[in-house]
Amino acid sequence: MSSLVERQVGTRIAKMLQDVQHRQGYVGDVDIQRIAGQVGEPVRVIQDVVSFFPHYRRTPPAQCRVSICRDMSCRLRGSVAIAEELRGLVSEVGEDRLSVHEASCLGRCDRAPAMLIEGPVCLNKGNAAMSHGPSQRLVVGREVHVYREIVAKVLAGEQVQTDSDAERAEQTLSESQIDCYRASGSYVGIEGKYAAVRGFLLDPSTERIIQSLKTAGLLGMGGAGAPAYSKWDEARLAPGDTKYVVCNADESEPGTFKDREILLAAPHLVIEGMLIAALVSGARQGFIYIRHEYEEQIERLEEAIEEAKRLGALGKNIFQSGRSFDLEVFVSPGGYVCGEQTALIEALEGKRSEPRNRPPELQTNGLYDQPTILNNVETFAWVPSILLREANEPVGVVVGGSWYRGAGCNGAKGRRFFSISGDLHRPGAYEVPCGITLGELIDEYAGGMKGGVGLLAVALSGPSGGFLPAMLPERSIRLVKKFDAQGGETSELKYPMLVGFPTDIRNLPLDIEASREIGFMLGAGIVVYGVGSDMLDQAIACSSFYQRESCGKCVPCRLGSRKLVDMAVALSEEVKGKPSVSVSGKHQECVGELVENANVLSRIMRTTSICGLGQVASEPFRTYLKFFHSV
Amino acid sequence: MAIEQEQEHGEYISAREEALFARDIDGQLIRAADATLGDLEQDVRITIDGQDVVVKKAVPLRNSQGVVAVNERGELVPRPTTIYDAVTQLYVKSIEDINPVPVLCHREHLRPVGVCRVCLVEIEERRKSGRVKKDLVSACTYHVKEGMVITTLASRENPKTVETIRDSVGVIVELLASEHLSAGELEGLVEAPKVYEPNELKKLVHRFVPDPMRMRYAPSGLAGRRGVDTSSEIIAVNHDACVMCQRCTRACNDIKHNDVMARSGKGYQARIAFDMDLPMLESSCVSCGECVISCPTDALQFRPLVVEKQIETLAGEGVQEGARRDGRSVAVLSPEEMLQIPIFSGIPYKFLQFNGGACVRRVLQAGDVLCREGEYGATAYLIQRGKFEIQFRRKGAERSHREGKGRGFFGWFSGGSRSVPTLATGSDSAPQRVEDKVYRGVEDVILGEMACLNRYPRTATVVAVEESEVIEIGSNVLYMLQRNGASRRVLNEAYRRHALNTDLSRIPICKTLSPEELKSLAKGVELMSVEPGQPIFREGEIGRDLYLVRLGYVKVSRMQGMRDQVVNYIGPGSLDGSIGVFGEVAVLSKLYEGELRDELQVLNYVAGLRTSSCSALDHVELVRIDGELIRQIADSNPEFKRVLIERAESLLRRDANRVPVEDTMKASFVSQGLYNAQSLLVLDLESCTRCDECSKACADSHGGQTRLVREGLRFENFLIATSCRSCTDPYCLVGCPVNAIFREGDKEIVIEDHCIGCGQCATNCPYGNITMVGHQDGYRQEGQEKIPVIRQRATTCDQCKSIGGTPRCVYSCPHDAAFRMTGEELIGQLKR
Repeated sequence: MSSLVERQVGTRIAKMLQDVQHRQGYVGDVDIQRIAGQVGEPVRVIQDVVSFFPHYRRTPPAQCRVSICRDMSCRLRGSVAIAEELRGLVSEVGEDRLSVHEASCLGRCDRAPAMLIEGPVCLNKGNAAMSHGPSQRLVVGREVHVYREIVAKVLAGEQVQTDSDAERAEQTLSESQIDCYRASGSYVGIEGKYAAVRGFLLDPSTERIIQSLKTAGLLGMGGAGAPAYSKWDEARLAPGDTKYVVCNADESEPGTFKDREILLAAPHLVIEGMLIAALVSGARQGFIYIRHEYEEQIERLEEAIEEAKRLGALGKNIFQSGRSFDLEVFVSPGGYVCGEQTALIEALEGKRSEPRNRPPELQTNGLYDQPTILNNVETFAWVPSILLREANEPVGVVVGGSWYRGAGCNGAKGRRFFSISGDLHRPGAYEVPCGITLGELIDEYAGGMKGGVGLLAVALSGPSGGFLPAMLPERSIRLVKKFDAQGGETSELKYPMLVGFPTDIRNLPLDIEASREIGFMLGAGIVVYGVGSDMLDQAIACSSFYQRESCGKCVPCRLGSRKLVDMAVALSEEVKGKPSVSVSGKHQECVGELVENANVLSRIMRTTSICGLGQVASEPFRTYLKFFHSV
Repeated sequence: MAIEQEQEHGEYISAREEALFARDIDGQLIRAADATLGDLEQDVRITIDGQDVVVKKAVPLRNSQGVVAVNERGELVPRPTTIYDAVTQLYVKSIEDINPVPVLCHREHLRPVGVCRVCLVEIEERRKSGRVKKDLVSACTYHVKEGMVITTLASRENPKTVETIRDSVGVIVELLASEHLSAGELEGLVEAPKVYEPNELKKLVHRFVPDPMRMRYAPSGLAGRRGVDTSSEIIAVNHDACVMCQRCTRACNDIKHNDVMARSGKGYQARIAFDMDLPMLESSCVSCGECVISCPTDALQFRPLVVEKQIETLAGEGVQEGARRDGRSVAVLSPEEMLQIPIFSGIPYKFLQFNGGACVRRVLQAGDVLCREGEYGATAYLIQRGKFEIQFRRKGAERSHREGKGRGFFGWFSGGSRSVPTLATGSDSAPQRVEDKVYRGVEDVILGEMACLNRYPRTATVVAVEESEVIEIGSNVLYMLQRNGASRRVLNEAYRRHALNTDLSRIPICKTLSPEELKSLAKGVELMSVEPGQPIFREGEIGRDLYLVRLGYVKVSRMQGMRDQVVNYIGPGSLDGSIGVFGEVAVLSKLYEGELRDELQVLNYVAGLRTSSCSALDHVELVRIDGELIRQIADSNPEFKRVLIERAESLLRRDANRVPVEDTMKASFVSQGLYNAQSLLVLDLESCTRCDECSKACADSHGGQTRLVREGLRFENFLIATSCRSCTDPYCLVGCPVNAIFREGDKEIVIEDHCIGCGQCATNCPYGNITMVGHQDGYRQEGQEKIPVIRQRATTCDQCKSIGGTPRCVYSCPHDAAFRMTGEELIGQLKR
């Protein structure tokens, strides 16, 4: 196994590539050779990495580059038509002036359709130090026909009104309880922040912190929902002198955008959470791995890190304690798969972002093969509140967690954010008590269905959980029995609202533990489809999403994801009366066979793919066939 | 929507859950660390298909030739035992056995990556809570853990799981087939399989897919095919047939260290690439062919012209020494014919294509000589039928040119030590008559592999005693046989028998052992190889093993104050004399510490410690013998025990008196490799006028290209020019992918026309005596233009003897300043 120093060369390569890409807009052959020479690696090592990330261009780009989101909510709001119009514009102005990229989710589903404009700017400003200046312009939530106009104006050098995430974020956080420093209604100044860190340094009991997280029942907010305390404790106990804390801010799951709000309006919470994790585990270095489309958030984080350093909360000798923690922002070169935790670590190590075969787990063999705590933005952000807020106690040095534990409803623990978008009055990121029902989230937070349209389908975890119908047919839900104090089964059911068929999906409790029990996948991004939505189109789009985002490492996902798109398109053509499945076969027979094959493929992908992406890639099409396809 | 899934798959975990066997029995996560030496001994109890199996926690890492590797400290390099290793150990006992776990992206000599997922097995972990968790995992990457329950396709008691695995592998293979085989190929697969199918994907389709046409759906209009690259004259790349198994990239980067190949792009579009995704011809690829022979599909292939040319040139050259010599009963074997012979079944078809004609069948009548002692031979013989007599040299018999100089360089070292072993360069102990005749037959599998691998002269004459048949193979074919696990086991078994018959009985201390005792000793031997300069063990370490030298030279040194002083050199010995043994002192003194107490006290020596450091001078092959095994035998054989104690006493006394070799001239002689040189081009600078006639003459006689450079090392007034030295152990011969370089006659290193210009030999030569030269090889059509094709070729001094047996360079010197001489002779000049 190579040494730590050797392993860190990769991160150097990644940073050098980002620098070149940012300065000149592409990575040329000369740059690859130069970087290879500087780090003393063969050219093929650099090629391996550069070619993996679409963010690195290998040839000089067009003057103006436009990305338009083609997933879920944006698709529902007409982004396909916008892309078509923009392509028309390209043929007018020429490919050297404009390029249009149909992008995977840009994380602005609340204001669909979303578009990012880069340029036209002189890329080579010669100011490498300012690594992430405002080179992107965001255009969101407009009428479909104005997007082309805006791009045309940009090309003509005219001023255009662009959008920011800031206002939304401020709004979201002001309605939330996660930020204990603004809970009183007004901000605590920067001097008042990092109280949980100061508290820990006064009483550096790692057990107290672990116990607090355990009491709180804080779960990972990234999707898997493992208890946060066990990850922290495992990394703490893992042998090794060098440990790391990494924050997954690569929020790329279509339909998910809540971390965006936290990063922008409460970056210090994330930093503080990471800092506590570092102090508990003994880590001295940390990274925030963030998607490059979050430019405002990147700037804000870098600013916040500087503020924290000035305050003495970060860097060497934290609050004169003798402890140190260096934190830096690492901008992702792009790709949904980077959100898979082992793939994220690979990308951070400057390699192709391909998930690792497990075991070992990251808590023992993470970044540079060292023990690593990797959590989602929101998971870290909850830590200060959990440690500081007490239902009945003043803020201080006690075992915390009981406030958070009691903050849920319907038997669930804690609070969490959901991003909800689609056919709604007020799509957005909302912090809610865990355990509220989907119906409550839709009606009480998101303002109900847009234009009063009926509910057709819901995606509970971006595309990863597939599509569920408004009324679930029999046997879709695993009914969970209740047990009495002696462990005997009672006649009551744990979720009485879910009894009866068909079951109204609005009655689903939004809680990770509950959803696991009843057999649903619940993520942080919920997309709601009104009656009239083209679910086959959505299924094809979501399958294509996985096909595009598959890293290609293992066969079931690399080829299976592609095969599913082939099947979905074939079915669509069959449905539209343009059969291509088989020239001679009968319609019914072909479709029946296709459905059967898709189910076989789905099962194999689930059980044999290396990572979660491959395991769920078939869900959109499989659930479409199960719930929405009628022969 | 996990409900149905769960019902269908029982308790398979998802990727979002923690992997199985991630924790130890206390529930602590296990930090994966490099395997330790201790792991090689530690037992892990697992269950495979209902059978309880004990395997070691780690196995020794092997190099691409299947030889156990050692690190810079001279220790074995352990790697964790995988499920695939364990299953292979259980099920694959002979070359005919089929491994129940299929593999596509995995090969024994490559670092496992676990990407193709066809090696799926089910594992089961019983948690402390009593819950049983299951998972389908890739056997090639998953490490065995205590208590692991494994189900493979060979399971009889678990038909449902077998069905699940078979279905899963089937669908994966089906996906691969539908993407990477053409419609025509798929249809062809419905028919009966060929006798030998070189495409491993097609073989898997035959084994696992009932209906290869099922998953063919009309392309969805997404960007698709990855194209072809025909820029190279030697290798054709069909990206569409590529399954992305990474065998070629690992071969290029990890095995050959050419560092050319990468993967380019992501997901479905990902493909193999050369350097910065250049066309192969424009990249830094040297066409060594390792990627092609590693490729399981038709994605990388030798271009038909190359294959034809290889066969043609080889046939024309008559490269097989047998064919050249007696020209009778020789038949070149085609790759197809070879693959029907069991021992070759694991060798890549494309390797045999690339080495077209590299194997010949020879039929010998009684009395025919297969090979003669003293000849150089680059080939080995696989015995197909018949019987051979091995005739060792007899006392007073004629010696080859390399012998009979009992006072060679190594003679110097005999001063302080009586135990300088007999070396290939000469022996002062007269060879003895071997009483019993030695015969070899089919059960011995192979003959002549020593000369083939180590490039020393044949050590015996082999004569057929009845009508016999052998397949004569080149060294690169033998390397390939060693790389493949199944054939390696056959060869190693054969070697163990050889060791039993000859080597072990030639160790002085083993002379008293009975055949049965020798047999049990032979069971415990391990073959290993050590690269030049690598230590085998260090002075002061605890020593448990002793070693026999099969090939090469071992340097023995001891610390004298702050300096490391050479005290001895140990070589392989000769077949009839005693064999080179080292490492006995530490082992024996520890075993009989009690008996040797007085001796040890007098010498102030701690039993069990190495009294010197041993390292490899050149490429060394060793037989390692576990000291514990010797003790066990001695426990029931008092005579043997007495011999051992006596031996230990004499060795201890010898070590106490041993005088280190102290001579800086000798030291540089060793470090510059001059001991290895048989024909240095030496220029006497006192007479030389730098007229360069020697270079000109060389160029004149070699197509205008000089093969010597009048620069190099100086010893006093002598210059060693850059020109082939004709080493006794020519490193340049190692690893030629097409066997184009070999030794002809007694000295000349010849590079044949079928050289592909990969530069391996030039890299190998430590003295820079092989040069890569561009030459024009026909034209290639590009549009209207005819562009000359420039090919690289290796060239080296061929020790030409055109004029009265004298090389041109020496003959042409007008000042009598140029000489050809051995390293020893040069030193002799200096001493004068």
